[in-house]
Amino acid sequence: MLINLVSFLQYNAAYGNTRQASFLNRENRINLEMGGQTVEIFQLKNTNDFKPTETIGVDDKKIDRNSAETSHRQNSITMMEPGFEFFTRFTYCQALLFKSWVEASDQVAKKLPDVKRDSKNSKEISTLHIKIYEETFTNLFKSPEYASNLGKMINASMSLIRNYKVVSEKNNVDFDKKDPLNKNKL
Amino acid sequence: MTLQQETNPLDHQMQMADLYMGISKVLPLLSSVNEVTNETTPHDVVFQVDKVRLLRYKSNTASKYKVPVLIVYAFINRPYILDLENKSMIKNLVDNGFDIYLLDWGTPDAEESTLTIDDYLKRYLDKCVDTVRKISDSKKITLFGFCMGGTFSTIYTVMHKEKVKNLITLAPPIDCSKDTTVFGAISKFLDVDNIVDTLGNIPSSMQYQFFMMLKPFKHFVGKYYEISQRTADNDYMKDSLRLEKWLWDTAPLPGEVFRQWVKDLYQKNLLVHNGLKIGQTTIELQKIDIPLLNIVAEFDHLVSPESSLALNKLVSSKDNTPMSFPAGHIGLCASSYAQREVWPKLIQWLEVRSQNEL
Repeated sequence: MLINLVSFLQYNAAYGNTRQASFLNRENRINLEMGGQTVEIFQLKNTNDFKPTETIGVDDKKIDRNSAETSHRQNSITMMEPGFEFFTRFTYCQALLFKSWVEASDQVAKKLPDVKRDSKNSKEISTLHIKIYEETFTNLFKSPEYASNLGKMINASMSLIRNYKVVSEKNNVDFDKKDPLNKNKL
Repeated sequence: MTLQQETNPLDHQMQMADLYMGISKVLPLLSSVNEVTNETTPHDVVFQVDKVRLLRYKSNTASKYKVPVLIVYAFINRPYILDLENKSMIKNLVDNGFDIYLLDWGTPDAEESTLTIDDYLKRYLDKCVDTVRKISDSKKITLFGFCMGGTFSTIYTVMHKEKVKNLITLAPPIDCSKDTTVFGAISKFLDVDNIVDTLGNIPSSMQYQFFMMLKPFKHFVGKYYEISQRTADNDYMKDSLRLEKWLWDTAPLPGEVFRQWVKDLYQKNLLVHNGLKIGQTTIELQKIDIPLLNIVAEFDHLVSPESSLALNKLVSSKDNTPMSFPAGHIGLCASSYAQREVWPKLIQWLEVRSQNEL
């Protein structure tokens, strides 16, 4: 769901400045509610060689093209903000997880020489591995640095979900479909 | 002889590869969790309102004690953890002559997302308490709350002291400033309003993500490794599957309850500062002066024992017993250790306080 939302928002951001606004030969129209304005996205008919930026346009008949573009861009950026926040926090959390993994591996390697080595003590080594990794990761999860980033990541994901709901409800687009914008048909 | 003289750097990695290979082989066995049954002690549903059920456990003999016991379970996971085959705390209590009831909150959906703690206590817990009193013909009952249910039971006792003779709590979160668990750390940074306003109820999948962080390697590596070493032991496998089924069986958490729970208890710690308001009632724990037994687990990874033990200091009960065991959160209620060490002491405490209802 989240990935659908992000790709849809990227789709909007990418196509918001499209200038190929021909009034003719349009099909697969989608009306998008953006900042109180209706923006129509459509495909030109009979275009065999599909290039999205060339074939998707904004209906400048209904609204001024510049304001449509500005509005569309602003909305795209506003809607993407939690996306940026989400991925920033997500990446940070991943980095902390990776750092902890390396630290724990290092600790295990240092303690291994203390473990007697024979065929019977694989349990002992497993126990050492689990104990050290457990301690390292539990400390990480309890740390304000990780907890704060995770909290912000969750908060950002909530905003993304809300944006997703707003966009899908206003535009009657079902993001859970495989091809919500009928891109394959385009 | 030590490893130092004869090891090479790849040894550790190979050992770990074996460990994870062992785990990967055991995971398909877990798909048979649905074949195991839980809720083993026979019971009747004696009362139901909306999704909440009140269960009364059947006994072959008449109750030896006048005061019935109502067990209040948490919202997280299902109450059958108290009634697992071969490790049933409920069966143990019933066999010892107690009249046991259990409150099962059911599976909340959108309808329950707006219900507050006050709603749950008034609409459901209070009605269940009255039903128990009526069926058992007793003016007062023993209220026995587990984890979150322990906190609810404590709050309820402040509000309805006249209906509760004894209060037993098992690992209740009370003083959340003393909570050193992973959830305690993360809860400080959660924008609960944002979460509840967006999701309504807190879905099971989100709860699992929190659970996975509590003891990531012991629960998701150590446990499965242990199982992989004992697949030939049928009884052990069945016990493991029962527990596994319970672990992955949780209902959504009602949104407003979660909001109040995290904001008022974990972020503002209002229960300790006499600032928690449930409906029109300000919850002052010193108003509790009835016999209290508070059982905590020293190695509890979900609720810090320090958080729970604060209850004994905050009430004014003269008959006030804290009990601490070297166990984990689940080990307190569903383990061989609990069978051997915890329940006998619980029963001993309860029987002398259940003879009459005054």
